[in-house]
Amino acid sequence: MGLNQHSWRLSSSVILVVVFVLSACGGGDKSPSPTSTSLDSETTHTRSESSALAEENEETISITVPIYDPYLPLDTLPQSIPTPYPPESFDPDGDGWMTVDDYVAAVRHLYPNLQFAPGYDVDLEGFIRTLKESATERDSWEVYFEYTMLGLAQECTWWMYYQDGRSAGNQEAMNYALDVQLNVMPYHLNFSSMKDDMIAMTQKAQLGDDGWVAPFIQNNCQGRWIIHTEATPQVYWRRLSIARVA
Amino acid sequence: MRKLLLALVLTLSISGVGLPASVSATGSETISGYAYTWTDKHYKNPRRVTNPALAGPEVVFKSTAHPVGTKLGTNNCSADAFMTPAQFIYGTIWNPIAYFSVPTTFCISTASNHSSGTFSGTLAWD
Repeated sequence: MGLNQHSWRLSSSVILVVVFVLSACGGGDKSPSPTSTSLDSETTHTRSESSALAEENEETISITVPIYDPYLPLDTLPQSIPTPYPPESFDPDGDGWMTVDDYVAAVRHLYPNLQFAPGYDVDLEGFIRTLKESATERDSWEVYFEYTMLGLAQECTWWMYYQDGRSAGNQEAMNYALDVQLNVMPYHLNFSSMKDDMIAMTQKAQLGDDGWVAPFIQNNCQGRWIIHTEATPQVYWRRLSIARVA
Repeated sequence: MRKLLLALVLTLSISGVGLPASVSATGSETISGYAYTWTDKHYKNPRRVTNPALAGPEVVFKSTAHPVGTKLGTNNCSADAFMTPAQFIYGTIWNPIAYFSVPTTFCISTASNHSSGTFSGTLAWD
């Protein structure tokens, strides 16, 4: 994302803070960068090694704490994971926009290729019915909007599955949901604009910071036509093996 | 005097060159597109507000030129609820687009009171 302008301003602010403090006090501590993310603080820590080596040297050693992943370390993922479903454009006139009928066709095409979490599905016909009742002929959707809409619905079902596991104390289910969200979903749909965000959220949950999941579901997953279904056995993620080819 | 000038520059810099204080941990990107006569156009890229703690708008937009009767709004990326809210874009100042009280995923929609209207500028969110 184009953060350059904002980052430049923040960087300028930090420089000015340092200059100002140095000017006024002749020195001082640097403030933490305002651009640091929570992910930074979670993945990189400074700690004193408790070994004899640390006692001897009395040094602070910077290390990177590996992200907990019960299935597959992140650094063993292939650099490029095949996209199982290459986007198919439903834009007959090629102007980059879909009519409501094109959009419905795109949604119908993508839907069977998605994998919602066990016990969840999307009421596709209900969504389409409401859409057709509400939209006008001139409303339009950017090509591949169906990936946005159904991709977020899919993400919602996995957070719901995670939350179900959390409520039931089922760590295995929680781990499974996180594994799919970390190692498969970001690549499955080539969902690049939300990929980093999705990974960061999942890593937060892996580290135990998951109190935000319930309000996230409540606020973001309503109105996505998600319905409960009968959970089927663990045959889930049909393309999981693709992502795990290392 | 030198300290005073530095403090002044510092204050102006931290004030964010006009960016609303409520958009403090911002993602931003340059966006452009076009709108159409009071019909919604739904842009596919979702964004996520993650830090809506401060009062004020969480999504703002600053146009690079005076737009002609263009509305910019958010939707929940389901696009069956359509554009809510829809805000007129005025001038080349930061315009409030949406207010969120909790972390929220949103998409952008536009509409115009002309047969067509274009917009370009910077979208920022908290």
